[in-house]
Amino acid sequence: MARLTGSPLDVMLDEYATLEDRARLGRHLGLDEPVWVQYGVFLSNLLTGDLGDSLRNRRPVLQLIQERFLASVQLGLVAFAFCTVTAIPLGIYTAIRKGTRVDNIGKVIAMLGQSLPSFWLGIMLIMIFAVQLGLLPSSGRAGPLSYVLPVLTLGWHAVAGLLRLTRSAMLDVLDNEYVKLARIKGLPERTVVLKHCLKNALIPIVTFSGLIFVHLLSGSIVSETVFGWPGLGSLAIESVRFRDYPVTQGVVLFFTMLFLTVNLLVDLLYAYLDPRIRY
Amino acid sequence: MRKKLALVRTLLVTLLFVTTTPAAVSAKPEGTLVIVLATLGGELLIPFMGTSSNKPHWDLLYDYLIDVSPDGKMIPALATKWSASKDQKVWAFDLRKGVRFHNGDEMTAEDVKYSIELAMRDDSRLSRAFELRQLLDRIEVPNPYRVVIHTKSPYSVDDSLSERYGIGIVPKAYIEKVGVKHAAEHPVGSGPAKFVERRLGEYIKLEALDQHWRVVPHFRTFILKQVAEHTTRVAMLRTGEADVIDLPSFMVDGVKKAGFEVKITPLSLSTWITLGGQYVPSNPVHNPKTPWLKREVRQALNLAVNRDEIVKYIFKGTARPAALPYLMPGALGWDDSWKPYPYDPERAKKLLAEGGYPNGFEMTMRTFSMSGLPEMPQIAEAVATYWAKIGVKTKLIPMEYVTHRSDYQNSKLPPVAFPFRYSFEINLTRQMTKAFYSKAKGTHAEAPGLDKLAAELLNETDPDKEAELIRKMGQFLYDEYMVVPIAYTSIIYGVSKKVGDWPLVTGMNEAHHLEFITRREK
Repeated sequence: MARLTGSPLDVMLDEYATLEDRARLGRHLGLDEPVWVQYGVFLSNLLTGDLGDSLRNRRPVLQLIQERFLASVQLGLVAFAFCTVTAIPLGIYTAIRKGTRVDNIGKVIAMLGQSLPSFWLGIMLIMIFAVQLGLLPSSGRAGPLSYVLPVLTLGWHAVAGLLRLTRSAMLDVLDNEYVKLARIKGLPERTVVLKHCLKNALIPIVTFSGLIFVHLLSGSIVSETVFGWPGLGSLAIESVRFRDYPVTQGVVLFFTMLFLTVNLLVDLLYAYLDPRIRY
Repeated sequence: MRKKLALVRTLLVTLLFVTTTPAAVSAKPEGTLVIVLATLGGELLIPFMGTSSNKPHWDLLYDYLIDVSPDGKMIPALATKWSASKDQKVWAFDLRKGVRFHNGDEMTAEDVKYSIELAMRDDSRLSRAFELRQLLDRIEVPNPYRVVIHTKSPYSVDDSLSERYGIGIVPKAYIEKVGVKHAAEHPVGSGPAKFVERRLGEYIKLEALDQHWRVVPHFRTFILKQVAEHTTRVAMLRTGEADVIDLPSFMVDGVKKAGFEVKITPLSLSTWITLGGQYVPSNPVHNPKTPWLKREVRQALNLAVNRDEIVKYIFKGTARPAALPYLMPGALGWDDSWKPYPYDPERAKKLLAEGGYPNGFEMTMRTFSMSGLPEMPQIAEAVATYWAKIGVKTKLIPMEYVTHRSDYQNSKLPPVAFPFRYSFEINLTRQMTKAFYSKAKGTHAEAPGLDKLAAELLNETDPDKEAELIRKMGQFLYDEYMVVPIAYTSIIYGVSKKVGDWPLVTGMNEAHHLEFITRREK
């Protein structure tokens, strides 16, 4: 990354800085060492939980990530709740009512969610609901109303994917013989759908939900930039823009750990959902 | 009767005193001013730790030795007066007495010395840190209200210590006691507003003082926020969530149509196209086949560009056509006879033919944005289009400035054109002797005639002669069409109906003087 995009010294230094100034600052920040030495120092510090200091903000990277992660978690959890509460019931309903008007509406919602760029969507929502109608704040993190537009922007794309997956998974299960048997036995439709169908359709839904959860928790660069939300996504883009390598490294490492942890939890959840799966 | 006369006299004197009370103890600040900018520069609260993009909050928290008036002149601030020796190597500053930091400590010469030394630290990011390290010899404190600075060679140290370059004065005793890290989270200055709180990535909150020698702000609370997306900033202005925002030029019309006022910092940046590769023959990368080594070709490339159109359509009328790089009206050595080159594509074609290129030629132009001028890629595209009309086909290569920078800084540029910009400065000796002197690195153009003038300028200490040498260099650049000047641009702000007057300073690129913003009369 360092050699491909240029040294952070190029961004930090005034264009009239001399070579001596560059060397001095480079020595101070440890950027004068060979890349492999810098990497070794990074790894040895990592073992003690030290991710280094931000070159731009001049604060510990771990501290920055902790502060910003909280903002992303708040937004992400609300967006995840919105996504699952909207997409899963709608997905089930459109599967049961396949071919009806409701199913078509669901398809349109899914199509729009997957095709509308979130950048454009966010700006449009701001223009309509904040500027024209004056109902909601346009940016920032102050009060419950400030969550509405970022959650919609962040969550709609996820709703689209989860809705289609849920519908598809349910359709697969609804065609099975045991479902027909359950109906023949006279079980209420609600029990057939929720107990016999949904539970069997949950594996792919849970897998995808786990991926969405990580994506939403780690913050969306686009949504956070549009709404000025001080989360990990905006921290990541700032660090790339200003060549703040320690922060970029720290954020990428953090995202990776988050992804692995959630994946592990999803795998463990399989065992609960499907007794046939044992580790 | 006598008693009554004495009473009336007393009342009259009291009335006179009250009505002539200095501004520093006038009406108390009230209300909140929300300033939303594209960047707050890392939100660093102690001056030496960041670049001048942190200036919006530094101006409120700290005082500087020297302030700058709206027309760009240096005016007394913490330094009530200053003087230089004849050789410009010894500078003496007399300090204002009775200035208090927000923790009650009095500001003295020791604090000034300490602040300058902080600015010169190895890890200082201030733009003048490099020069100060090179040129400052020592700082003496003969008494608590006098600072004497010795330089290694003639140097306008007053310019570097002015508010333009962000060397705010910090309390030495406080920082030495609590440490830099703690002070960076709980800053103490002597400015017209004190620190309240900061939520990194969200806002910085400052509160105005009721009395201050410089100004008592009209607003009680200043909240500075960072929102990178310009559409969102405009939305915040329109919804009342922001009172001051910075604006790219293409959004000016929309903001005005919505009924908001636009404030402009005049003559902020000079922008031009450098015709790279104009090195003296002794430079190993000098390529004698470079088309614009010929004056006729350089003149043709200049006459082919319609600067009025660029100003009208790209800058929406907020800029003006430029005559030269670096030099702007008001700078030392500026000559009012320098007018922007006319637009004359027919003559340009004839000149190309005279230069040996009747069918034009192909060339490359690197494009990138630089801070303060996001329109640079558009300018490059516009210029390429104008050049295409006279037969010069330009291949545009987008890249990041930092990628281009190492070639340019080491004077190893191939013959490529590239856009560039520089902030307004009054004394451009430093720039002229770097940008147009073959013995320096990072030149924009070289020529024996420029070298001779630059060498003289480097050793000149008389301000009048300095000005004349700069003028001569400017004349050379102008007569020889060494670069393609484009425009003198402005920094643009949108303001809410709450904002009255705002004395913006010529050439200041960051949001500044927020403490002087008045409330609009209803």
